[in-house]
Amino acid sequence: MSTNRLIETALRYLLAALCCGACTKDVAFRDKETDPVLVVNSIVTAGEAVCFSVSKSVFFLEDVTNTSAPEGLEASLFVNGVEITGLTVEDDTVGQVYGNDYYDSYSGIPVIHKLFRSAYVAKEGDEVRIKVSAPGFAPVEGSCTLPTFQTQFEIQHSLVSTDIDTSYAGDSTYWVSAEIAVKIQLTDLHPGSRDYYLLQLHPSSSVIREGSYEHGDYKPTLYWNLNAYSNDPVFQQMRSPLETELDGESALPDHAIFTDLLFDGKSHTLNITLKFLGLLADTMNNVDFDVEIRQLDRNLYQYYNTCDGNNGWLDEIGYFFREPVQTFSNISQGYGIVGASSRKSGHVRFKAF
Amino acid sequence: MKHHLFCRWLIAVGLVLASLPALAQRRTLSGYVMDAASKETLIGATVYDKNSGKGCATNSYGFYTLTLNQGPVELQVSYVGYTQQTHTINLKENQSLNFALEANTTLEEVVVEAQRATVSARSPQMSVVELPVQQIKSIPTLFGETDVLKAIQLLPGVQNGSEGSAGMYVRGGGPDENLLLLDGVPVYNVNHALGFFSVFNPDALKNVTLYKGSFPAHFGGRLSSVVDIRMKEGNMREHHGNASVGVISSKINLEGPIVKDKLSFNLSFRRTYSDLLMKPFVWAATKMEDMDMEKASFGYYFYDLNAKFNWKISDKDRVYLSLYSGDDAVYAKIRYKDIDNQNYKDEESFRLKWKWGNKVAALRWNRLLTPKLFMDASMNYTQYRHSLGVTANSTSITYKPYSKSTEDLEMRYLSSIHDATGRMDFTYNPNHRHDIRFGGAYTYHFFRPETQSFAMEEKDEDYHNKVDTTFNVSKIGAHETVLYLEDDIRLNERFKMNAGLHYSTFSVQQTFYQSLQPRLSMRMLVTKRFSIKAGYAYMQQYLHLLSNSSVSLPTDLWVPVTARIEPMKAHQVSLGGFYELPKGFDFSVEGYGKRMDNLLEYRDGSSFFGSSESWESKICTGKGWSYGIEFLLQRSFGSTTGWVAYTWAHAKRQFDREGEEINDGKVFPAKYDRRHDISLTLQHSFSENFDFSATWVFSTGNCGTLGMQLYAPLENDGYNTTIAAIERNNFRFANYHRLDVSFSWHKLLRHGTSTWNLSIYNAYAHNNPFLVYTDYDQKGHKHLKQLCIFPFIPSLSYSFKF
Repeated sequence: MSTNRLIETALRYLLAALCCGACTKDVAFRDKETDPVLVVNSIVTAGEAVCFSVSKSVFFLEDVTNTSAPEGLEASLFVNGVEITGLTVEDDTVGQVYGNDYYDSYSGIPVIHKLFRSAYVAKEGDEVRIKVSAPGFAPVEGSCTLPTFQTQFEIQHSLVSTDIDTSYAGDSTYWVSAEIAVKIQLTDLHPGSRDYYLLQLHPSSSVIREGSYEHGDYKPTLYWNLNAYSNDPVFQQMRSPLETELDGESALPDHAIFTDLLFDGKSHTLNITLKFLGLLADTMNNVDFDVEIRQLDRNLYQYYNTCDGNNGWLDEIGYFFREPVQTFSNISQGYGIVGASSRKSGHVRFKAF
Repeated sequence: MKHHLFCRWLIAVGLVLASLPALAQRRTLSGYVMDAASKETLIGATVYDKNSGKGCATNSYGFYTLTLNQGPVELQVSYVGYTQQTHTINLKENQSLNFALEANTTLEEVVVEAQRATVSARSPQMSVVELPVQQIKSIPTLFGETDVLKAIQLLPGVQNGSEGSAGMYVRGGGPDENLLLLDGVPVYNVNHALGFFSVFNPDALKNVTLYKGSFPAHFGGRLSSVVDIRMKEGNMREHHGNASVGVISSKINLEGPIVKDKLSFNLSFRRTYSDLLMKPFVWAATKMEDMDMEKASFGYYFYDLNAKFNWKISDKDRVYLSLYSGDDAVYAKIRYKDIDNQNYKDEESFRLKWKWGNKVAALRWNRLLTPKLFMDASMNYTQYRHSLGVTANSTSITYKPYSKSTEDLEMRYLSSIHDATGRMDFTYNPNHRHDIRFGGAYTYHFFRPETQSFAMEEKDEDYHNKVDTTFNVSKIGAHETVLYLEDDIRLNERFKMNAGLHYSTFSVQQTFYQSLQPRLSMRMLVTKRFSIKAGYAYMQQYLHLLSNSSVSLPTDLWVPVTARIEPMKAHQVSLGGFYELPKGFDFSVEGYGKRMDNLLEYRDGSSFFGSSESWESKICTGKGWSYGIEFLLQRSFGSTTGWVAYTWAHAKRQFDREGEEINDGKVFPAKYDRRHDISLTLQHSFSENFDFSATWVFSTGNCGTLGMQLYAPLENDGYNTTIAAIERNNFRFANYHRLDVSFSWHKLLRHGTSTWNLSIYNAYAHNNPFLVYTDYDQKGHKHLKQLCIFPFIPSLSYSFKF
């Protein structure tokens, strides 16, 4: 545990001790209650059809068990000033995208989204504008411009070590840990302008996210966990502080964003260590995942830069010592984000057995 | 022709000779005013000549100087709580004259009225409040611990921080914008126990003065206030002492002569024993059934030690040595043992020592260079240090098959700031119209924001890992110089002003800053008892305190300006009326406006935890402004004393520099922006044996940040499930009010006076908000809850004064 974590923990226990001698009481909310507004969320990705989801915000003291999407929604999509017609709309309960109950129970706001889909496939350089209105709500609008991927991207990886723990008994499954060194060479071809990036790891279809499994459909992975570590200075620009491990390595958050501030017009090599831990069936020889670099527009970068901090701040007792974070939104008279990205990815595979 | 020239020459000589008697008629009286019994000098005592109507007040060392016409003078010497003296002398030449006043706490009101000849209405200084230490000691407080800063928080224009906190927010400024001086030396961290108590032990103090604006030019380095605290020098004639035992701490104070009338000392010591009180609870915890702790100790304590030595070398020379040492400490020792003699043996131990505190030393030499020129030369040292040490060891042995693994870990953390200062101040009174002060100082600041070291060793039969590293070793040296000149000018009977210039430079890491800060305050005496005052001050601050705005923590770091972080600046104007009412009451109303630049705030999402190497990247700079009106009605002497204070105030912030926006660059209320603030304090002596005091405070709610609207995020990954749409400080806590009462019973014994004191904090147990959060009730409905930390708290203490 780092020194700062230790101090933070000690202070929490001191505060808790103080709270033991304290009392709590219900208070009436006397301030002016704010009205809900429309929420529009969309990542417009080059090479993919444009879609966006619409929901509404809720007052923080409202008892929300199931909130329907606003009635009478009307949405318009414009690309380069031209309206795209033929939008389809469907309900999309939060969590349903991931297809299991686990996320439903963790949803803070079980609102129904209306998911609008278009047939238009976005291209780099497109200017996309989304307008939504509904009776009883102020009309909202958000826009973005798809970045042109201005960076050369090359990925190399090498397996540093693997370890198999055979002590787990049952169904020929074993704990497998592996360390993989990944080098991502980025060359900025657009000097003089600020470019924004996101590094993400995705499992391939042969693996399932940690802690979940398919009922009655045995998959070769019962558990897996993949973290990326890097001391690269480009990641110090993030608002959310990196967790520094005792041996000096910094674990990257899920949205590892960075800019070309340190390599504008030049090449830069990101050195990342991937640490994998999985409970795998011995029939599974290869473990696959994608290392993805997305180029983001500034809106999406600012959203990711603030979103994690906002979530951490919500827990008022635990994050008593952290300044509040305003999540970035580019939706006029509403909340949410319409952001754009282009992407490149590289594939990483290592043999488990 | 020659005859005309000769006549003109004769007339000129005649005029010069005629004027000589006028020049020769001015004589200077100077000396000290002191307590007759203890010889303790009295600060702010008045020496007033009834014949000429001229007077002055003693300075911080009890020294006065008054230039009068040669001939008979009728001097009135007075000080609150002392019997006024009148002396008639024939002033023929410059004369040194000391006065020893007799203490008298049961003054007749008539006498009191006469003493107020040169009190607040007449002084050109505004936004100044002098708090008698005796009054501070009678104000009921938390756990019965009398506290200087808690008393100051009851004055208009001064806000406290969160419940119980000793933090001060003066006229919309932050807690790091207050200069707290102990015998002229800055104290950097004035808080014990997360800010619930201050480091100042009232038993060791003589005088407390608060400046909220119109700062005289000899003060500088902070934007919002100066609290000038002077320690007692020690009784020059007899030994006296005072010991007290309270709920959570005990104190002892001893003073007396080392050489009678020449050398005296004053020693005060205070220590809490909360660590001893916690021992039974910790012991019980180790005996709990499901705990494997073999041994555990946990405790917290703080102490303060004040010492002052006063050497009167001669009538012209005095030397003082002031010392202060205070620490807070949290310690913990835990040992686990889990043994199965057949199979395994596990042992773990953990030790923590967390300490923070101040050390202050000041060596001062006062010399009367001429009857009109007083010198104060000093060398000072101040230090604030914060350290954390953790040691953890574990040994795990299995017998079948035999294996042994060990893990040892040691972490050290250190942060400190040190100042060494040389200073010279001069007071020069050329005549009754001018009271000139000038001087300079040099300070070397040494900052060590954070040094961390970490060592770990893990070992078993197959594995050995060792890490040993020291990081974040940053040391920063800075040089600060100050020059100032100020003049208290009496223009005529009605108009008086204090004008000055404060020039300072600050040099750190190849960066140089300087500023010329004008100061001005003026008084117009409308009637003998009513005056109007106005003031202006420009202040600049070179040090910043990186602090969480919610509580005062020992991890708060003092850091200097850098090439990127410029000095904080403030302009303040004030205007007020002051009226001396009958029966010893004073009334004042004062309006102020303040504009601040280069204020620091942590960026959204930042925490003060983290590497200090990157502290600059966690900070953004912006501006603030505040304005308000303060009313004060007070009575400082008699059997019933106290005051009523009301403040109406606004304080706002804006951080809109590109890339450094807070709240989207929009204006937002400052953290402790409270619209209305009321304080009532009352002390009454029913008899020589029984005193009563009460304090009632009311303030409209503090600001907090609440996410009023919640909405779903872009991607629900099970972690980011909800986004709160927030605006900084958009929520107001419930109003705060509290009544504290205190009862004291005195009994005269053979060798001294004993006093039992019962005080009750929050006497009607109002649940004041400390924290607000959302929670679910039993029916699953979400609602707002607040945490209140100090309900009804009685405390009992016993003291003996000899």
